[in-house]
Amino acid sequence: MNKYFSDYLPPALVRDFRRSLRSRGYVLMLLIAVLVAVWVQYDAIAQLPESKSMGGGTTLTMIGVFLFWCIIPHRAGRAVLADCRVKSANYMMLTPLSSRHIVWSTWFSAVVQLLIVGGIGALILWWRQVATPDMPLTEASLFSLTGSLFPGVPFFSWQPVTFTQVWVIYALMLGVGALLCAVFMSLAQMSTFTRLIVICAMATVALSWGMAQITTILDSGRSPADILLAGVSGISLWCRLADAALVLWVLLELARRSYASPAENCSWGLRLWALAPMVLVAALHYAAPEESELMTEQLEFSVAMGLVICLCDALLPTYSLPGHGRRTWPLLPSYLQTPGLGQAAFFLVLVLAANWGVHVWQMQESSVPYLLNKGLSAEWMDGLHSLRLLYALLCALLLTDLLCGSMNANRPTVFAVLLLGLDIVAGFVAPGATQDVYLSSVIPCSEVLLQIKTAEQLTVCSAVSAACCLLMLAGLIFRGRRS
Amino acid sequence: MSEPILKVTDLVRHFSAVKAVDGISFELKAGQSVGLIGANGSGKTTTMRLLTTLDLPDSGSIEFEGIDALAYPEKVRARIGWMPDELVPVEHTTVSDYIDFFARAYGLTGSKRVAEVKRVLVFCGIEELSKRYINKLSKGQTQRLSLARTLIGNPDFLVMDEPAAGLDPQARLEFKQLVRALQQQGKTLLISSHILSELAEMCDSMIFMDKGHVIRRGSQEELVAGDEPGTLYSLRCVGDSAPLLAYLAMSKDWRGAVCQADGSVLVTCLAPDDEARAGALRALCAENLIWEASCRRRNLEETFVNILQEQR
Repeated sequence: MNKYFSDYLPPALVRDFRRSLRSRGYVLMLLIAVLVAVWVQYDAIAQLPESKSMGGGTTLTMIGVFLFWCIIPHRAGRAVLADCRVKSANYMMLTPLSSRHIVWSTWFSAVVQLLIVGGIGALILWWRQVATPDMPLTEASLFSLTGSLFPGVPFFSWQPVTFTQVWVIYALMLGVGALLCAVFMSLAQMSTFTRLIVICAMATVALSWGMAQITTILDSGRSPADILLAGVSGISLWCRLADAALVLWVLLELARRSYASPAENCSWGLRLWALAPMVLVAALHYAAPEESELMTEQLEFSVAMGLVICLCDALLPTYSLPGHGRRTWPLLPSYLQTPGLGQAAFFLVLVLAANWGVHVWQMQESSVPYLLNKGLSAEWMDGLHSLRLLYALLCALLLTDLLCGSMNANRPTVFAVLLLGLDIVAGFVAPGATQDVYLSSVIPCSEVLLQIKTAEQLTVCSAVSAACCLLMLAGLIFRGRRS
Repeated sequence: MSEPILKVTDLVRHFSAVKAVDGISFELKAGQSVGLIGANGSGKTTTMRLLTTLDLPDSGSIEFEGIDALAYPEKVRARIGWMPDELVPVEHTTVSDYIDFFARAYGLTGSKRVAEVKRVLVFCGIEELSKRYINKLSKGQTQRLSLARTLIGNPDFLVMDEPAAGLDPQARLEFKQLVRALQQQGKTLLISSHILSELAEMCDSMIFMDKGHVIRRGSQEELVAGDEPGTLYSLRCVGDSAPLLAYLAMSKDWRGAVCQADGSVLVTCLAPDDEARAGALRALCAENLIWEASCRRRNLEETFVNILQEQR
């Protein structure tokens, strides 16, 4: 091979790949995960004469989730974060490399790592398929362990799956992993507090999605594979891919700001370029020969993404340009620039858009744009699990703040007040909401008290909710006394 | 000296209420070595970041060889090398990997890239450390690595922020030799430092900054000579220095008497010519206040402190 082969690759990709290979902990973690996967599959094949079906699918899925959704995206995020912390981004700004080039190269580096590890996983799957072509596969329900929370549901359940489903889910996991790499990279430019709340927001959405999954699986008895693959064909598949590409573009445009020079970050060119994909989608919409519901949804989705960009542009400081007068959104007057207000508003928009959307998506089994269209309904109030999660989240933040004691004194308080304000508004506007629901939104403990009083629907969730509420109140009291 | 390579006009950069840079203007000519001097928080680093297009001013203009650096930063960046006060180590990166990345970033490929990496490593004397991880380097080695990175792409204009900060005397001496070698190559240098004696050796011109303003600029001779009219004397007292200080305070010929650690008194004689100065000294001897007087030149530190006191 040509010894200068790497000259044909982007510099940032070469650098990041080298750095990853030199990190012993990272390489070791990948190797251990792959070895565990091999061992589990080998063990499953070895027990074939005694067993009537193949197990081990869940383990492989979990290892995949661990590697594709946690380790590699985290590594991609850390690559950007390290550049920001050690001021490497400053040095890079002085080179002819454009900020877009650096960010896309870093992302490609993460994707190459995903493909290498994913390729090894695919080989293991292929080995299993070749070794046992006629044996039906079984996979433990992803959330079966939490089934014990629900009365009358078995602790452990097995779902039959086909190899096609496994391959599709595997590919989907890799795709989501690639998107998550971009998510983690875009978070790197944020301040610690903002990053914390965005991660919490993502965790909230993931938990919400998980709970909705459990509900759906328990109600319908279908496997996650069936739900994910339902109705995916033709134009809808292309629309979903376009959505993913759009989200990727937006995330990397946000990540790019860490490497962009102040002049770029202040320029309207950058802002307009970030909005370009939305314009493209809108143009395609109007160019389409006939009216399509999916295209309409995409148009609305692109508008929503554009709003997210505007919000990020206004509220998120970048490493290269801390608090520059030219960048501050002129529409936000100085008296509104309270510490924590921007982050809280960003968090709320993120949580509400995503949480409502995912919840409705799960109910309607529709495309991502659809969820934003229909998300502003009252369905999310069902069971109040969203509120419980919000309280739990706030509680975690306050607790972290109490333990660390290093955050801005006003931020969590502003955050808490805004969250409670939102609950009050939600209680008022939710159509068909009962007095109890309204009370719960204003005073979180009231829901639990009501449940204890009536002894209805008293579950583990109620206890968790109660603990969260108490901690939240304790945190607020403590903060009030301290300030 | 040739045409100005850099022209800065009314540069302003405020961080909320803090006026880090408040309307500074100056010019640098090609091949010139200029020292930027100021107390902590005087706006040196902010000025340097503005000049290297790493920050954006609130107002003002920066022209690099006639190109508007604010409007076309990408056109001037390749010509500017920036060496910050500290290079924070990157994890899992060796010295050669680090330099190699920047060589790639400047578009160098194949044998040219390898040669350029070797050139800067050899110039900075860290070739034998090429396989070592950056976080295992000493402070002096890290500064050399930082300089090596700055020299990739062979920029014409080098901006160095406290390059010798934290170095031991030996490393400082070696670093000074590197800077001299760069001067011989005809590079334009802008160096900030707190060690003014070293700057005086390295630079042919100085810019004094305070509270975001340029308070004085010129060559070392001009600054020292223009600092204050009169001649500086070191006087040895007979016995206690108090009567001498009291006399000097009353006399119109003397100004700014300061008692030194060795017991001598440093004072400026305002007498206009040699004859008048001799008369003033004779008067001191007649009063039996001094037994020795020596004329000396004010050094850069004293000049800087003196100017700062005048400003404040």
